[in-house]
Amino acid sequence: MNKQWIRLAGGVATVALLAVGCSMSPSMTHAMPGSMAGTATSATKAADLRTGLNALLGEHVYLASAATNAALGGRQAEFEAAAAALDANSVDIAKAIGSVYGADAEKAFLPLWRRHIGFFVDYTVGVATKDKSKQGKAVNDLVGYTEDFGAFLSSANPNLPKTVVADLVKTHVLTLKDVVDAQAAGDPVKANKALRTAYSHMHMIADPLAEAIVKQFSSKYAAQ
Amino acid sequence: MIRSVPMLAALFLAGSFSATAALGADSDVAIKTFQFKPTPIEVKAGTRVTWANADDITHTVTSGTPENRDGQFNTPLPGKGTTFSFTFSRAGTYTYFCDRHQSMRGEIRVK
Ligand SMILES: [Cu+2]
Repeated sequence: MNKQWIRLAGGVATVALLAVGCSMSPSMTHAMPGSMAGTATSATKAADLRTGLNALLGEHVYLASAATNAALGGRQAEFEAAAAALDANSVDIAKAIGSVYGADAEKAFLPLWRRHIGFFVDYTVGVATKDKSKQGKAVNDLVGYTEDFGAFLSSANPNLPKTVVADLVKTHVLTLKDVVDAQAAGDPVKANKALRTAYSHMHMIADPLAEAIVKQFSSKYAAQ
Repeated sequence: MIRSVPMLAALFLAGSFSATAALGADSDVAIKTFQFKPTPIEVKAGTRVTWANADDITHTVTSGTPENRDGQFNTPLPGKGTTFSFTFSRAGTYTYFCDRHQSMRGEIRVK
């Protein structure tokens, strides 16, 4: 075991800890749908929801990439900070779900969401250690996870077909995998190009999600 | 009475699956959006509890906790509309969970 791997392994343990039990972070209320005052005259609840979800999901990709890059580079303190911020973002995404579907849904969503981050940690460790079978298992787990995620959202909202959501999340998984692969290959140009792709793909999830929620609760989100 | 045979069966095969209307009341638990609802529930001994999966994914109804499985039941419900029933014949507190999504937990309090 080289020094770098020991440091990476320590970081992975930190993520594992974050994934099982985490206190609430100071919430980023500015990004929270349903909790914002209509300050701008053009603001509507529906627009707030859409921009809020886009901000949260874009942030998810950016912070995940920051965490994997630091982990692969063996930069422990940077990794821990990115992982903590990533988990705070997960809590906020769950809160956004909770603001629409209630506290119980929020509680059910958070472990489901954290799970895919755990699988990504597995993948990153697999790449760092050149362990093909670990990588393969993580990719399988991630692809299987997309079905669960699709089932959750389609159960919460009949306007979101399971297979459509699953396919969108699958693309998320694959675009983020491209980032990790390029980071691991030491190709920052490719990594940052892939990061742009992964980041912009999140609109493909956030926009239809917001649209489906507005459709489901049309009176709540009616333009005011 | 036609029901008497299954009723007797339910009496003597206490704690087993029951295919028809069981002794005592029935109680339902929905599995929806990755949650068991309602939980906890309080039922009388002899109540048949039926779980119905409303999600388009496999959940399981597994007795105990992930850390401490008691082996009483462990049934996959492979998708929307699938159900599982179990008759609780003895008083006690019974926990259960979904083996595929282990943060999904539930509890039955049998009086
Ligand atoms: Cu489940």
